Amino acid sequence: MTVGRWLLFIVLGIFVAYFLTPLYVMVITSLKSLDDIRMGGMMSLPTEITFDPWIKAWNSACVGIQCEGLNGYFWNSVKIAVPAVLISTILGALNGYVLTKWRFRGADIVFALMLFGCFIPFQVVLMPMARMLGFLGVAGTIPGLVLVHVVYGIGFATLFFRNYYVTIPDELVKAATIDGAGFFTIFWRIMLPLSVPIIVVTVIWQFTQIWNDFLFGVSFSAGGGQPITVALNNIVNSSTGVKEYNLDMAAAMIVGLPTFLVYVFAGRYFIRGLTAGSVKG
Amino acid sequence: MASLEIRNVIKRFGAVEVLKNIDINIDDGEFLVLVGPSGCGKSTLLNAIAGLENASAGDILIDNKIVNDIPPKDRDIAMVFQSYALYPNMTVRNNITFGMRVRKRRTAEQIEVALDRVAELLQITPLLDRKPSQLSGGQRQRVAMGRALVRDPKIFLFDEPLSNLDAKLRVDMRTEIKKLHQRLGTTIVYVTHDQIEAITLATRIAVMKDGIVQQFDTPQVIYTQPANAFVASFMGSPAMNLIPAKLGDEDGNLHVEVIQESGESLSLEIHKPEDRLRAHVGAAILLGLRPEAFGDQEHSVGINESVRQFSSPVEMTEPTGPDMLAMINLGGVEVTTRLNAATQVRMGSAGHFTVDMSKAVFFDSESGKRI
Repeated sequence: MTVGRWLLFIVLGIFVAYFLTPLYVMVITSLKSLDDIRMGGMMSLPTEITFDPWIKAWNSACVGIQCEGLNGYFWNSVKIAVPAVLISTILGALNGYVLTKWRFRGADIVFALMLFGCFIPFQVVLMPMARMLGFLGVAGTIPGLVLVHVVYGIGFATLFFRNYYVTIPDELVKAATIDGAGFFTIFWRIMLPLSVPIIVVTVIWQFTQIWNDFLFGVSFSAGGGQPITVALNNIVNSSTGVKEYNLDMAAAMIVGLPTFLVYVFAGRYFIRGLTAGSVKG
Repeated sequence: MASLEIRNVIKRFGAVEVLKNIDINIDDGEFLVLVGPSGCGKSTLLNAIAGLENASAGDILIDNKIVNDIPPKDRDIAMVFQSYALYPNMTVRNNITFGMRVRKRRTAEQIEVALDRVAELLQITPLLDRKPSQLSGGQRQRVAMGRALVRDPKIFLFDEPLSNLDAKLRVDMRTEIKKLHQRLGTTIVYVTHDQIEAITLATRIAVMKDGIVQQFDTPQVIYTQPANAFVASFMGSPAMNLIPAKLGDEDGNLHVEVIQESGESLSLEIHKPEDRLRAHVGAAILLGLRPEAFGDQEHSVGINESVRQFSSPVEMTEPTGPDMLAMINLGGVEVTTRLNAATQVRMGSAGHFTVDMSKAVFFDSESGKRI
């Protein structure tokens, strides 16, 4: 090995340590008892491994004044994320399909406006969105949050699908048209089966965005309907007396786990899908 | 099987007129080739026939029925695309039967029978369970044709179907398409930019340029009597020589005067000139001569009254195998002659040539139209 390669590995090693150290601290802290935390250093391994903080975080930690753990909030997030991801992905796919294969006058302007939607900061839409949700009668409910995330997600989902579908030859659609297939038949039987990589990309992207969202969650939900990120914040910030670091860490791990698992199982499609559009077959 | 009529079709994209008053009429069972350089509107015209694009004005009739407002799926046509456009997610079997399954007009057994017939005809039976990505270019081409054939349509439309194949395969498939046409007798409209394909396949050719049909006729007429200088130079390889010349009259005998490289004037008497030529006496014209109208004197078979003789220095020779192409300079342009392969004509020295003036055509040098 040359000096250059050694240097490369050393630098990469430093980066790995930089990113993994916090995770290491979180994992070992979540497995320690409070005494263990007080006695040992931050980096030291637990003297005895305990899963009590995880159990407590899941079903008996105090979120505000209610001490029922993250359990209910976890399912809130699932109920928000799953429909929002599915709906925004399907709408994005339809939009991409129309914008590339059924072009209409002004299609490029519509697409540009949708792109614009991707870059509007969350804070800007808070007030109008609050009015809108109130008007629709879904303020503070889970369906309301689903709507917010769908609306916000359409821009990115459309961008992904549109850029993927421009690489699929128009002749396929023409051939199917002559074969007698209509708008939705072509979509379901030709386009969607070809879209697996980009569906994976969009699902991962949308799921991560929606699961990790805090601002919309804290603004547009109330009481028992809050998503898990808001509950985590409340656990960490509202505890009185002794600071239960092990509980906080376990709770944070539980919150982060679903997105982590999605990356582990679908990550390689993510990279493949992101680059798929750029190289023509 | 059906006749096809295109009546004064105009197609505009915004302000640009890509098809200008197209008028074409073919009978049942004909093989029409639309040929022209890229951007001439031939693919747009094919799409209009298919119904994938609507004409801005004019009518398209299939079997004497106006189909302007009939969607592509109900026009009873089938189309083969340049990129084959096979559905990548389906097997060959499903690719071919997709149209029938979508339409739901036939039973599963009928579909199976139709599939078997086409697979056998195109010899793709062993490939039926493969995906398009597992096929070679030629095999994909066959499957694409199978998908068109299986529906037994009134008209087949081919959009440059051979241009993605390598040279050898292209010639093979060309022959197969011609055989197929003879066997099925179905009306075919075929788009290509390859003039050899056009001449070998067509019963009628429409040569297009800039959205205008330059000439619409049989291959033979298009080759021997091109309507204008563009058709003359586009059809045939090597192209027809267009030599700047002057039309002269000597005691009623018309002749063309061509300036040779040496600066001397070569006078070639026209064989049985038509009367309309007389109006152009004294004017500058273009003399159109195919390379095979020339010969060398030692190999000329039976010099007859239409053949003239002249000498010219040879600038370049290109043996092609069956022939020898010799380039000479006439009227200030390079002229390609096609000689016998055994010719004694050599590059750099003077060669003795013959030219058959009964094969000559004349164009107005201003408008390019044939006189």
